Formats: sequence, C-alpha cells, structure tokens
Amino acid sequence: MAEAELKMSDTLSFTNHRLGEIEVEADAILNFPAGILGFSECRRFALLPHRPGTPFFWLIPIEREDIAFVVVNPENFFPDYCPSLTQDQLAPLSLENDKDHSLGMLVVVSFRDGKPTANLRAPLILDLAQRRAVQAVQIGKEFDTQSPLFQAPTK
Amino acid sequence: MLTLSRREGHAIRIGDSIRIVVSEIRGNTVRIGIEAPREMQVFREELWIKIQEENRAAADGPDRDALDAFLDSFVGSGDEGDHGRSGTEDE
Repeated sequence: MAEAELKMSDTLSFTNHRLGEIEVEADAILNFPAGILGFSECRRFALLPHRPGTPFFWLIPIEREDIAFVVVNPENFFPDYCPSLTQDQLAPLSLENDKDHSLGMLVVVSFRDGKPTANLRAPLILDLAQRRAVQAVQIGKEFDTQSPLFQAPTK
Repeated sequence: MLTLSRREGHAIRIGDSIRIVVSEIRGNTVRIGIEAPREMQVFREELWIKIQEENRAAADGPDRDALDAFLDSFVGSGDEGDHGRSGTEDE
C-alpha cells in the first residue's frame, strides 16, 4: 500500500478531451521552454505511444485540455529527411557539454480530408535525457509543412 | 504601433537584449539585421504564420478512435483478422 502511494506521487494525472484521463510518470514529461508556435501557453507535454506496433504517438499538453498532437518519428516515413539544426535553433534545449544529450526527432501530423501530412518544415527536436524539446523551424524552403505521410508507390 | 524613421546603418533597440539594424536599403527592399538572444526565435512573419496555422490544424486532429479507424483503413483491405486486435493488445 505504501508502495502504491509512493508510486502515485511520482505520476501526474490530467484530462484531455480527446484522449480522456492521462496518467504519466512525472519524469516522463517533456518541457518545451520556447513553446510551440500558436500555443505559447503550453510548455509541458506528455508523449505517449498510440498503440503498440504503430509509429504514431500523442503529444498532449498538460496546460490545455482541448488539443492534442499526433506525431511520428520521421524515420518511419521519410528515411532521407535531414533538417538542418543550428546552434540557435537548439538554444532552447540548453545543451550543456557535460550532460548526456541523446537527441530524438518527431514531426507533427495533420489530417485534412482524411489525408495525413507531416510538417517537415518544423520538426520537434527532443533532448531525451534532459526531457526538453524545441520546434526547430526550418528557414529554407526545401521542406514542406504538408508532406503526405503515405505516398503513392513510385515503383 | 510605434513607427520610427531610420537611415541605412541606423539601429533600433528593443529592451536590453534586442538590436535591429537597417543594414541596406535598395529600391523597395530593406535588409534588416537582428541581434537577439539565441533562445528567441526570429522568423519572417509569413513563415511564422504558416507554422502557426499548421500547428493549429494539427492540434485540432482526430481522437484516439478516429486515428485507429484511419490506421485500420490503411492497414489494408486483406487483413480481416485486424478486428481481433483490441482484444489482444492488453496481453
């Protein structure tokens, strides 16, 4: 019983209109020190897998109940995708030399007319060890905000 | 909105940490240099609006069931056994 209570104190519970009750380990929360454009009030998010075996994740803000983002690892859909990441773009992550920084990447997915597209113009870069993330907007025009997630086979 | 007239090479300060320089004026184009703290994101407004709009569209997406339904529709016509999935995934 004491163990269960201890466990409770390490988890964070909140509600999301789209996903219901969310309970996450407190240290699994992702912090966006610079926020996400359009949602500057949201700084803390839970990142949860959608279902085992799918590459989809939910990025759920703690500060707002009415929104949630579908995100994917771009490796699964765009194997050649390689955005440029400058020191300035990564500045909100406060990368310090003496710490472990294993960076991960996700892209935000939109559904218009049932067709999912990924925003390759503004990938999310995650410092997994420090639990910080930033939306690294690409200044150049080589990446599209609406890249189809599933492309018609070219072969 | 505060409006200031500046010549080429002149600058504007915003607070202690932001400096904006009119670095070049040529025809109807002005080149502007911006010195700001690294953690402050600086974009052309068009890009800022575009990313904001895309984020808003994404934030207003499907719920869990709708995403499932969508994935099922993609997973393929041949996989009739897929309906058993919800019963097995907890194991």
